[in-house]
Amino acid sequence: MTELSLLSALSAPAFEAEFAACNRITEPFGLTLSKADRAALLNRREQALRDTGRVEFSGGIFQKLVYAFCDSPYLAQQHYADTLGVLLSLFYAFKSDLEDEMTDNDLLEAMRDIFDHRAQGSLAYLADITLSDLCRLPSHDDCRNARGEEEDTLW
Amino acid sequence: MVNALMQSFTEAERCCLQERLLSLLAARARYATQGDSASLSIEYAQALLDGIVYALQVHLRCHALPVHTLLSQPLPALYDDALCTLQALLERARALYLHACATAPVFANRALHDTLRGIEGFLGRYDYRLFPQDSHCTLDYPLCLPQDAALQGVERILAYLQAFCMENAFLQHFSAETLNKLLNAACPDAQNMIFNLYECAAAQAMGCVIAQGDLRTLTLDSAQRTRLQRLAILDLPALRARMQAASQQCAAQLHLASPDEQLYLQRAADALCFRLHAALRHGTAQHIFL
Repeated sequence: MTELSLLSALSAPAFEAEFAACNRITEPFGLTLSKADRAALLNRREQALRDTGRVEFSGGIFQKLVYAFCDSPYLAQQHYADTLGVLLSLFYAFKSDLEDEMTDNDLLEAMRDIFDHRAQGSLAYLADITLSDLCRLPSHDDCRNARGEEEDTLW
Repeated sequence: MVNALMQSFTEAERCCLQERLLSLLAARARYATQGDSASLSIEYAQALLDGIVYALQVHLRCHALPVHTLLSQPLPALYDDALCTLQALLERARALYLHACATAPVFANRALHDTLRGIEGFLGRYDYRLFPQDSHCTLDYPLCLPQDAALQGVERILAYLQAFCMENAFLQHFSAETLNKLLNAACPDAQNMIFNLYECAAAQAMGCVIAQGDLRTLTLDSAQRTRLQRLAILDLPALRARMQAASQQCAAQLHLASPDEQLYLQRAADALCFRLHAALRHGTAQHIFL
């Protein structure tokens, strides 16, 4: 396992490079990350990967997360970095709980949908949702089928 | 698996190889997830890494390449070659499996036939591109000589099939009727018991050679069995020499053409010695020579 523990160190520069690109995307929405935010998010990512028993080989997910949430009406500059940190942790936790049955893009889409609608911007609500809730979007049939669930009646 | 590989390198070389392996692992992870996931569970990533290392080790072994090739050549290209090597081994295993089925004894031993079915399933689902180290196949039917427990993946199945085919080649020198009679005498529930048919037939064949019984029908009369009891006067080294000589005589009389088959019989004779020596010390070898 020692070889794999090097992975977060190897992928950190790629993750760092994503920040610059992310700020360019989010500036029109009044959202930016400072250097201190970047360091905190980098630590948070490593901790989240450790906690969920996962490894990441390259950057990419942070940028996708920012893309997915940057135009949410519930994001504001004063808690932007903290919210991203929690979303990042939740993303890895869901990914792990779902045993990789959902693609990154589908999971982000589901998280964004719940965050904006049912959760109304509440991270605590998002953290408490069930895996079935995550798979309820119509485009997530594969995940629902893999989990052996019936067609949902709510949608 | 990775740690064992690393032992051949200096500290600096290890760091370099580790980086090369992780870079290759990242590419394999992209292939495995089809780009759908940037992260993987540690267990899955470790299995992928073990697969990479296994493939490279098999390639080095098959082509007698030094382990430092892993540092001197571009790893992705070497890995592509390793996949070709694995594919070739898989094709060999498939061909050998067909041969094994065609030459398997007709004797209805459940473990033997279940094992052949299991190997067929394994060859169908074996994923040499992602997890070549996997050898999830129940090989219930025991071989006369134990396999190297360190073997993994297609190498394990290939080694099993090679030995199995050698055993079949030997058994084919006897009629189905002869084998049925012998095996039913050797084991009260020979169809359902897990035991090796070759070991039973080889022991009887060597007994026939020593006591001048009928090798073709593998039969010994009571006088010949009594003669075999005289082996009890031999100590273990002398008994081993006698059994080795018997295995060579047996190979000559049955016209075993392949040196591998002859060697296999010699090794089987050697393995039988300890059992035979213990049995003779306790007064009878009637469960070995039937």
